Amino acid sequence: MGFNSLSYAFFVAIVFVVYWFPLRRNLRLQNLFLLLSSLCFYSLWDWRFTGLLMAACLVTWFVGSRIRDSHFGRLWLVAGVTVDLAILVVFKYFNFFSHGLSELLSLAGFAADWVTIDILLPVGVSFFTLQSISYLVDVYRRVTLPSGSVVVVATYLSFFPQLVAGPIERPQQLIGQLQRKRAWDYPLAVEGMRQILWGLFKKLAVADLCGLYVDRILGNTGYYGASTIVFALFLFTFQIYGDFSGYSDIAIGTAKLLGIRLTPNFRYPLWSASVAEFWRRWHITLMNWFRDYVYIPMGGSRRGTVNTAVNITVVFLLSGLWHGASFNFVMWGLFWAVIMNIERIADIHFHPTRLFGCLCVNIVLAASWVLFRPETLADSALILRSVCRASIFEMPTGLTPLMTVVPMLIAELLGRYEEFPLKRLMKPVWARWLLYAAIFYSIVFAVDSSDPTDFIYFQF
Amino acid sequence: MNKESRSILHFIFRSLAACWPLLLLIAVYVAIDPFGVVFNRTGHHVGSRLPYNKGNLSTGAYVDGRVTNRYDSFILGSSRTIRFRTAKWQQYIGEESSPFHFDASDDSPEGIYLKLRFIDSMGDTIRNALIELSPHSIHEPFAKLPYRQPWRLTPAIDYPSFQFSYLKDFLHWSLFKAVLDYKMTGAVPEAGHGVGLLFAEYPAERYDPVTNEESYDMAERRFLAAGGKLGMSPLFADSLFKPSKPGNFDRSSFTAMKEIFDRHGTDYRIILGPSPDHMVLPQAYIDELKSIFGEEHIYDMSRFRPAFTGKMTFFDKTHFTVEVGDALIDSVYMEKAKTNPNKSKISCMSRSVFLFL
Repeated sequence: MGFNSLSYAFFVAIVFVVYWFPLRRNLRLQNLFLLLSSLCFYSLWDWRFTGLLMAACLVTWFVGSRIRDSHFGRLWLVAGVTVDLAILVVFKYFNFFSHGLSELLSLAGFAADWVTIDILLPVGVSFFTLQSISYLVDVYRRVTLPSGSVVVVATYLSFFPQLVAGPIERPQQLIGQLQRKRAWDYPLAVEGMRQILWGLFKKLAVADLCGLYVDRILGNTGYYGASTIVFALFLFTFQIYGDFSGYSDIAIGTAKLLGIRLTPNFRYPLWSASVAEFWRRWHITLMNWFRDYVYIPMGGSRRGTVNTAVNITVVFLLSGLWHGASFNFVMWGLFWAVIMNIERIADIHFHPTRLFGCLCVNIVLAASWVLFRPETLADSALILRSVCRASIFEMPTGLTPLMTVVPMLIAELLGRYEEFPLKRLMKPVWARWLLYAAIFYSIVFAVDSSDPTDFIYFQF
Repeated sequence: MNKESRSILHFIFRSLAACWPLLLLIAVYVAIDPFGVVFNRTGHHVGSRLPYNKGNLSTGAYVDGRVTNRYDSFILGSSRTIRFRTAKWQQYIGEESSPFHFDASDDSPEGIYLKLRFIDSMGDTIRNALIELSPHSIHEPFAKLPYRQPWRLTPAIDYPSFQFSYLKDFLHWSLFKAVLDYKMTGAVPEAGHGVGLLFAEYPAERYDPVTNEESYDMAERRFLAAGGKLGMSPLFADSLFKPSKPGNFDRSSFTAMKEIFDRHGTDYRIILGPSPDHMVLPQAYIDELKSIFGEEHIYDMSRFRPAFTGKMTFFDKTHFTVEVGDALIDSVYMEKAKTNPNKSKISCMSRSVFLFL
């Protein structure tokens, strides 16, 4: 049930009505209903792993309660985090390591079929395991109190708008709201609907349209000129940004309909003037998670240049690996680690003007997709070879997606001080409704609507 | 009702009201009914046909007429079967039989099977069947063009999803724009598959109210009046024939068809028809069909050489003329001797002479 499907719209409508009408006066029932809806939502994605999610919720709640109540808090913490990491490693990375080991062994002349088992990847595993670790560590650090209610903890982990692809919420942010009565907030609900509309525009009218061209061009690099291939890399920036930030907007907007505020995940990253700024604005909750649970515990930037460089490298390598179990993602993470360290150590400022800085950042970003998008390093090499041709100076083809990309960028520029561009709109009602209609028609007509494509980040 | 509840209800109603752009689109779609499926639900006589609703209207015509006319003989296959005249066919199957012509475009093997299954489920007898398969449609998957298939044929195509699939296809910018252009200015896009095909309108009076077959004269005259030219391919040199590309061979649908025919004791002929592009089925597929149905039911007429020197044999790019259709029926039914152990030598010779003319 993708966020851009009619079935999701019906699902949210039902949850909304039940949540606010019969249940709003009873917080416990409301939370229980949220939990059941979330489990139902997850099972519609893939019922086979609903048990895994429920088990993760129970383990997290139980371990969290033992960390504070027992003398062996640290041991309980290690046990809980180990379970979470084990889930992640087994389901996400087992095939990667076993295939790698198998290839190594076969190079040495040993048959190793026994190590290769195809394990399915549960949807959202990369997200709810990080949230679980966040909860356990924050309880240990006494940043947050352990919740006595298994329903609250389970809802925190499985809250359906952010379950399958974030934002990765901190316990004090989300559990705090779950433990307080939610009053109906009309302006917040309107804001939520606008954010959902904006998210759908970015996903359907921008990301999917760019995706059509990107797939065609990068799937047939032999047929297109070098300039077109380079242009496709820029289009991929808009595709992945529109896809992921669009999904985040829909998730945050849905939560607002239920009176819950989630953490913003993107803050106009394409308008960043430096790489460091970009990573403060792109997938904010993931980078903040790595900062708080990996970078700072390792020493952060307090132990000298070399140590800082190592810490940054570790964070980006883990970030690359988090995105996927392949050497391409590892290399992608290493690429960003190198760029970040160079920018930091050399104290490079890209921007004589902010716009120039934005252009430089976007060029580096487009270059990084050469490692991120293809499945193998050989495919990445093919794209690089395709770019190094004389046709780099020709006019690129496939400019159609710009008809939605440019309005999106202009809207972001005009609304850059708000959480999202549609948050504060013009006064006359008719003007607002005309704008809604224009956005709606651009969503309907931009792309073939008969086959909604999945969100890219659901695969992580 | 307290203030909070009123506020929530107010929000819900305003959200629904904000869906006015979608309602406007649906209203335009219903008013224009570009595919002829919103109002033309049953029977050819209700309204004109378009390539996108011919299958649906044919099925509707069958449902409407089956009790009165007691259909027991069916012509099925791709649109090339529209050149098979039921009057000609009745010369062989008997005047007492009641033929019905299912009119479909690009019908896949699964589509043909589902129509047979539908007839069977309605309790009608299939005494005779004439099916035409071509290399262009034999590999077509049923699901490729779902909105061309009648909504009654499978449980998966219920009426709401049938209508919804057409609505979704209407919401393509190129189609939407072309339909609006046509309705406002009368400008017809280039003919052919896709958007242009939408405007190949077939008036209701072109179809026989009993047999559902199309009037060929009207079709050909309209085609010529629009500046079309008939193709002449009187002689197919052997060297010109080329096998079609391998594709999915829908063995399960063919096997299921045979099971229905066996149960009904049907006298059926499956014709592999000629094509102006000289495309023929690879021999392996022909052998596969013969292994399923038996050699006596398969007629490979793809290298058919009708004796029409100097005359038009093909009508538009894919459909042969009615003269070719009549000649095909003659040829196939003269093969009747094949199924009769006391086959006549004269019948065999006359077929051989006919084919080599």
